[in-house]
Amino acid sequence: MSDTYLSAANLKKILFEIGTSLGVDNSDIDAKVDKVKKSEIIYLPIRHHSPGSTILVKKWIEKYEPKLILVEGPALADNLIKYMVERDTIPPIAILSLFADTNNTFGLNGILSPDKLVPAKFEAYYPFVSYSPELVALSEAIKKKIPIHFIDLPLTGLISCSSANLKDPSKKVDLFNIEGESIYNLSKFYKKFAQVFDFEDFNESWETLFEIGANKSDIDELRESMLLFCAFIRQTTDMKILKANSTLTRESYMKHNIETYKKKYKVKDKDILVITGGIHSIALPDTLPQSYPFPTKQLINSLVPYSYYRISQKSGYMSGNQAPQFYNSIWKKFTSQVEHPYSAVALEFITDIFKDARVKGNVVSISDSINSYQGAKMLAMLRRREEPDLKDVIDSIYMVLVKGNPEIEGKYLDSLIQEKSIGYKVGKVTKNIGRLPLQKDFYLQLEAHGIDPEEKVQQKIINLREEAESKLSQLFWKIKFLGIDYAHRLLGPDILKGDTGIFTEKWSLKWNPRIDAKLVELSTYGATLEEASKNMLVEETKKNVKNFGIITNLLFQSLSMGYTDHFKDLHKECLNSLEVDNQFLSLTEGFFNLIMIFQFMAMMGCSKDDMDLMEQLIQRSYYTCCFSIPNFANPPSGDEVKYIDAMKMLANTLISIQNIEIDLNVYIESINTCVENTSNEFIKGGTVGILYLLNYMKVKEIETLIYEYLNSIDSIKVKIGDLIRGLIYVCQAKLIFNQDIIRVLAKVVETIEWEVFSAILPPLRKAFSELHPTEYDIFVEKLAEHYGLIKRKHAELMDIVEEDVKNFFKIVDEKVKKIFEEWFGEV
Amino acid sequence: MEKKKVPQKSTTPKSFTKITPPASKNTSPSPPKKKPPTSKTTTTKKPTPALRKIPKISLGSNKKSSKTENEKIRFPAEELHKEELKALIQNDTYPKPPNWQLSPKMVELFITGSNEEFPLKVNGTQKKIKISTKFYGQRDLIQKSIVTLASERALMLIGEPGTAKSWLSEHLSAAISGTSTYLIQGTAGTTEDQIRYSWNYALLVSEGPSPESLVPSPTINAMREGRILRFEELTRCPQEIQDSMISILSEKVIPIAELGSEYLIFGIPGFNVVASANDRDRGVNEMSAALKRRFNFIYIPVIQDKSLERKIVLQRTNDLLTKIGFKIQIPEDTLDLLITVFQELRTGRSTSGGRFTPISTVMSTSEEISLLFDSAIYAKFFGKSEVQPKHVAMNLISAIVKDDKENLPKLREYFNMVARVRANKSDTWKEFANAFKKHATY
Ligand SMILES: Nc1ncnc2c1ncn2[C@@H]1O[C@H](COP(=O)(O)OP(=O)(O)O)[C@@H](O)[C@H]1O
Ligand SMILES: [Mg+2]
Repeated sequence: MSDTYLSAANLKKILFEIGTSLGVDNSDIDAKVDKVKKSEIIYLPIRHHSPGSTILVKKWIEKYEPKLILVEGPALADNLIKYMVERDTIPPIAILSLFADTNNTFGLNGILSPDKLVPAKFEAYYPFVSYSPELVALSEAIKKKIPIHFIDLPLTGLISCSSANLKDPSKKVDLFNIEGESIYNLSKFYKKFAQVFDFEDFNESWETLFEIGANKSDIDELRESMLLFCAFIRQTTDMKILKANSTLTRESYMKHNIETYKKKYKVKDKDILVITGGIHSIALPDTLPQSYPFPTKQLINSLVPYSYYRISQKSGYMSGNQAPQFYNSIWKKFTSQVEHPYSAVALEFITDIFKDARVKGNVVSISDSINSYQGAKMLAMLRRREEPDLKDVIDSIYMVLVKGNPEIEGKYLDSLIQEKSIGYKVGKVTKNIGRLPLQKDFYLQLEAHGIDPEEKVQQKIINLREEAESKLSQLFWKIKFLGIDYAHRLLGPDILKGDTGIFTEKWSLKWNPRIDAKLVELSTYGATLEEASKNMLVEETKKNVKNFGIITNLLFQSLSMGYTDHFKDLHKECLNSLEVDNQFLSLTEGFFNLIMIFQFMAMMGCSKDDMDLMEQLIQRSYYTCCFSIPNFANPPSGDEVKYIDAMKMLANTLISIQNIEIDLNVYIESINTCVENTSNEFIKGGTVGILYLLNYMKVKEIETLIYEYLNSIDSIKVKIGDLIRGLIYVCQAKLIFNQDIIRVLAKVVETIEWEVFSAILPPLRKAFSELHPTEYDIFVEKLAEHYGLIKRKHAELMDIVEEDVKNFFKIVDEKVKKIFEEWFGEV
Repeated sequence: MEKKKVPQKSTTPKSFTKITPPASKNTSPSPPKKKPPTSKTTTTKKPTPALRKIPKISLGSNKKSSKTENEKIRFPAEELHKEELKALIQNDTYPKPPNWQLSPKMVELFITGSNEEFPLKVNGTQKKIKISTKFYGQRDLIQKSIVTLASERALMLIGEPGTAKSWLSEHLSAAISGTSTYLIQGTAGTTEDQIRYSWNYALLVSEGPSPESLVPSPTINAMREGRILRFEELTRCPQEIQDSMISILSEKVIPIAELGSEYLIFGIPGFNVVASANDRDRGVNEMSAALKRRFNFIYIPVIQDKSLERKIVLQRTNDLLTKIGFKIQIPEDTLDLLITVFQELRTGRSTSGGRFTPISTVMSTSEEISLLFDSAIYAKFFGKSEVQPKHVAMNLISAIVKDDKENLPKLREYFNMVARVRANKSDTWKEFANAFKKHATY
């Protein structure tokens, strides 16, 4: 093994050595490869997202001029091919396959969807970059007028052959990652190979063997080496895996298509070129053809823009690609016939990174660049690569620039490198491709309101009291609800927050190319914005039934979208949710939501009937909230403040509530129970505080309570800090300005021993730091007064302050009103 | 500092000025013809490391040193692995940087080890030689180190104590230069003389400054011969002393001002420096930017992987024991206990989730090795030739507390929170806990 570099050329000997050491039957491998080589039909192995494979495909088509090309890719998406290679389609792009099982064909509704009534939805992306061998095959074929087809199972076929496994929730089926290279890593052969050469992952191995130098390789030799490598991997991969991940099914289906197209085009075997992942190429000659039934009707195939970032993030159907920007640069060098493409890109990469590092204020010299470039080349050599790959380049950059622990001092380089290796490029899809119904509806609806959707940025002001304009508002709410990044509300009533002073909405509209991709994705929900949003509403309510807060919020959004006719459905969902939600926080959140919605139902066009229903719903949710309070007398530590906040908010709402009948005693009862049951002093203080605020408890009683603690043993005494904090947290100025309370607090501090005091100091400090600064000042003065240090009449002072504040707000109000009038006319 | 380079005469190779005769590039360097004055003169200021005779073959040995081979406690790596190095040299087909005895690929192989057997021819007979693993851990680190040494830059190994920085530096030098003994040990008291050169004062007085009265430093020797100079704990030296390395690294030349402005000692290709520094010392931050720029830094992380740590500790301890001819059993359980204790004390977290105050300062892999070695010796003389948990406990206390008395309470905390609990379930831990209680009496 003393060849300096690993390459396709010296691979054979090495592979057989490793094979022998593992006891693999080398003659068997030889026979397999031979079979592919001798096969009349030409099977060309590739790796997805691979400049080396792409150059092989391109040269192969040029040299051998096939008369029919068949490519691993979703059958039934052939209609997209001509748009994929159009001039104004710019990769990265993806074929998006979607399927919503409205008829429950696979019996997965309610298993993969939140409810039997909600269709299970499936999607798969098949991304393509400039250096995807499949894409280059497509464009070469179209250019040369050679018929070309996708031959792999479509999405519904994949679901069909995995549906049994999908039904079993214990089996995690990664349906759309079947080509994930992780399975290669399991191959015994590959493990050994990687170990011998100390390669980190499949990518590094493949790159060293088949990417670097691919531009200079003889294509027949390159093909043979790839076949050999893949044969070893296939031979040492567990058959069970290949079965489980549908590899075998897919191959027989591909073979079936090969036969079908062969007949259809009446071409000779030797004129057929079949381009698939190498692992399939080695098996296809021996595979028996078979066709499978699968639904085709609701299957949607479309083309969407994709991004380098997404490609690097998830590998999806095809194998991943960690650094699209980097490989794109390699591909460019390949096509412009640069002699040492990897070295050239390494040099550019290093100079770019170093320039950026310099711009960011790091001291980087020319000598660093030179050193790093040389370093990359030498590292490549040690790793048996003829030219440096991305890993060598990155290693040498850190080696030269980072003068310490790279995980700390090299941090700043991470983002620079990510930017240069992954990149941010987003692709584009030609406009000539027909729009899906949902896309059409989106544009038509907006145009019907006189809006040109594709205008870059625009603003729209809506008077909610105008019927026609409120329809537009509803449209925007639908768009927003569907998660389409187009309409953003800048201004308007915030009903759920009780912020309802105005009747005008201001929306900012901004189109971007991702919107079309999103609309395509959403197509499984329906053909119009209305249908899609209603279906999504159903799905969301089913999904979130255990969270009353979310359900009521959905009710609100539903009304904002104008679905008053839907009210009864959502009302029912709310009732369901009240049954199953047992969390105090989400219950109270839902209760507040309902109160707020109730006040605006009339304006939103709801019927009297519905409003009555709403009233009953509010009452029911009130009781449910109250009954759940004692269950949370001892909330998880760290969450106390959230619970007290919710209880206090509830109290505030109850006091201010007007036209709904509510029995306050239920609430008081619950709070009392909570006071008794809690062993958390902050909660105790807080709930006692609530009772005090509602006049159900007197200062005297609070005093007694505190003294009770003060006269207990130390282990109880130390809890006094939390108790006081709870009290102050809830009551604030309303309690601590009370002369009696001040007296008690002073007493606490005076009598308590030093050890106990140091234990209660943190909560006390916290309590007082939560006060408003002016409250705090006043408290200090009162305290000083208590000790006879100063004398002053605070009552007057308070009045003066309040008067001042009132005046101030009056002026502000006037100003705001003026501004609004200038903007929107008379309000 | 003025450095004027002497115009080169065609007969004198560029690496040497008047001082020494040429050394041919392709053969192993031969000693300078004119030996520097030896230390017979009692007035010599310092012992002169340069007096060491330069080894004839590139696998260096220190024949001249006063101790005989048998007396040496520890052999330098190039002697210890003489056969491995020879075999690698004989089988090396890769390109070599000038004056390297091995190609970078083979240097890597020497450090990481290999299962492949290399034929070695000695006196007409042939042997098969396996290459042992010297450094366990990421191969990347080794590769980057080697690449750096083949470049214009010097290599700085940084990391916590006991992460095998010195170990790596020794083995790299042995593999690349055939000698690992051109060494400067950095301390607060390191002087510029030790880095550059000093004088034989007797000669200096009687003859005045002359090439003969010059006492070269390891630096000068390494420069003349195109070898690797090791500079241990560089950052412990005062900054101005550190900075005297700047010109050496950038110009690869040392001017001898006392002999006239044209006296320059040049480094020939192959000369480079491996420095090491402890990143717990504040030193690394205080290194001047100019000096930092001359180095590529390679950070050697503490080993996190328990099974790897186990492997290193066992392997290295057995090496050491074999060397002194002892065979002592190290039971799995006891080894496991040792590794667990070290990992937990280092991080302040027990594997079962408990937390306590970590003792990170002295819990290095090398400390683990010496602890196990000490325990083994103890077992040999006072036990049944098998390391027992109690030996580990005793040595742990003395090893950790000797460094810093404040570690004892931390150790007790660990004992109470973790070890005692485990003692209920495991005999190994029970013995450990009992011994701990007995001995933790400081
Ligand atoms: N990763 C490792 N591989 C091999 N030996 C190691 C490793 N880590 C530590 N050691 C051993 O520990 C000791 C490290 O000591 P040393 O090189 O002096 O550390 P440092 O110079 O980093 O303080 C050596 O004896 C070495 O054998
Ligand atoms: Mg050291």
